[in-house]
Amino acid sequence: MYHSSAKILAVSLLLIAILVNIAVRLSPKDIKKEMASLKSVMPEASVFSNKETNPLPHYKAYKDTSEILGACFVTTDIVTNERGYSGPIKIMVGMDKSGDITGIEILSHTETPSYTYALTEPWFKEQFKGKNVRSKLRMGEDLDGITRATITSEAVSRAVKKSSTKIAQAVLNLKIPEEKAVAPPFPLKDLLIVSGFFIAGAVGLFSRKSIIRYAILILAIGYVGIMKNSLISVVNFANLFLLRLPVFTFNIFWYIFIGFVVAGLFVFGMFYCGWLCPFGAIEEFLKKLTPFKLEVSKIASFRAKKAKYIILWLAICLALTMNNVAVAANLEPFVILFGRKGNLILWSFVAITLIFASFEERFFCRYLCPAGAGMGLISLFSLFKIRQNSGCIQCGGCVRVCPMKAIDEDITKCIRIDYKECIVCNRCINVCPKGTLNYAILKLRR
Amino acid sequence: MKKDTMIFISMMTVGIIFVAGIMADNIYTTIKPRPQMPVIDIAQLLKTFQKADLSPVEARHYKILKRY
Repeated sequence: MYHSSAKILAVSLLLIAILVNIAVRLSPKDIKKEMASLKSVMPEASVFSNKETNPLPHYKAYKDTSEILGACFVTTDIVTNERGYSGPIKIMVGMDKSGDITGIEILSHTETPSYTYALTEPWFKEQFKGKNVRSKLRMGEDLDGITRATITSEAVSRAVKKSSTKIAQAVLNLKIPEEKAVAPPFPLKDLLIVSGFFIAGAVGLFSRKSIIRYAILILAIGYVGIMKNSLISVVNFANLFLLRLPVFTFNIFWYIFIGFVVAGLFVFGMFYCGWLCPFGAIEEFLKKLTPFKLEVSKIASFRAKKAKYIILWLAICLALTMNNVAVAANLEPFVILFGRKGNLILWSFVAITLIFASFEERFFCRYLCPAGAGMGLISLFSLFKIRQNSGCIQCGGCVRVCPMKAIDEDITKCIRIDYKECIVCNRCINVCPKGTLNYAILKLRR
Repeated sequence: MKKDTMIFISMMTVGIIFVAGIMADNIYTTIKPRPQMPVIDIAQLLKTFQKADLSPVEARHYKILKRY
């Protein structure tokens, strides 16, 4: 009865958070912050008009009451479909009569703070000053982006460029040649690499060869972790609930990777966690290299596993209530480790989880990973699962080798597998002396 | 209670304190933005050893970092 009440309470609070989010989105926009930023983007102006809407939303800037200096405008009012990684980035831009940008100010964003702290730093904003609307305004060409925050940086430059062009033409009556947005080429090489990972994983899964799994895990540390920094995080789940996805044209690789991961979840189960997650791989290899071992009681381990579900639920509820995924940022050490950015406390968190993983295998994955918790719940619906045939002698081998402690002995002379914890590593199948375990669709005869 | 289980509970407590602290900091920063703790940026630190590769903006950063 206690468990049913807890579940009902959890679902009710999640629904309340969704309603609060809808209310926040429908509430009138705060114009005070916009008006407070006008002077910072156009310091020479002494007077600003009220927000005009004809022909486009803008504020006129005056030196005194008669001499017009230029216009200030909010990018999200002009280009409504531009988004960063997690949602729209609201930018106040000042532009003088000749089309030179006099300043920008980031009013609000919902990007991950550990990647985008530089958005508010003077050097990022200063580089826009003095640039004419006719210049490229493109990251990597006449602007410097933020390291490891390419999507966010490019979203800012595109929003400033597009909105400045429209305002220059419509409000300042400047002649600006039309420039089509240059979409990045289709990442065919990345598509082939990601497909290769999943095909190799499927081969390793059904052939039950551990060497293939370890090879894939090592390659995943390099490609998924270091090169692409494309790990699945609780921020992805929060964005899903907030219905915020990156712009497809400029983030094709992200959609390719997520597509394969989701397909993997529904077909193979927690395939990502067991075969592709770089942090899980590091934890597993660390445990192999260290001699420490803890004999933890089953009850303590079972109860501790609930923590990651609570963290997931809290992160989603808070993100919905505050309409901002930043509350769910940095809850996973791999975000800091592979993003290579963080303050002292965050780096300490990385160090602590790696040290703990030396004592208890996949410590973070088992007990604290909210992304793993979410994927585990989805994988309950997977097509393939590890099934048991009759003939189990309850030797306990599978229980001992399971890296996620997902297997428990059952009084009915068999075992019980918790499928939301199982990362389909095949260790249990390989260790079973009677071959009673198999990775299959159909339930085998007991 | 066994010693190993006690050690495990301590590990869990430390982990949960870290997660709770990070979440609380995220909430506070969202409600009331304030200057963040200094960020240790590994990529930027590595670049300072390769002065020739720095862009004009990064060269300015390198000058600032050198002061510390």
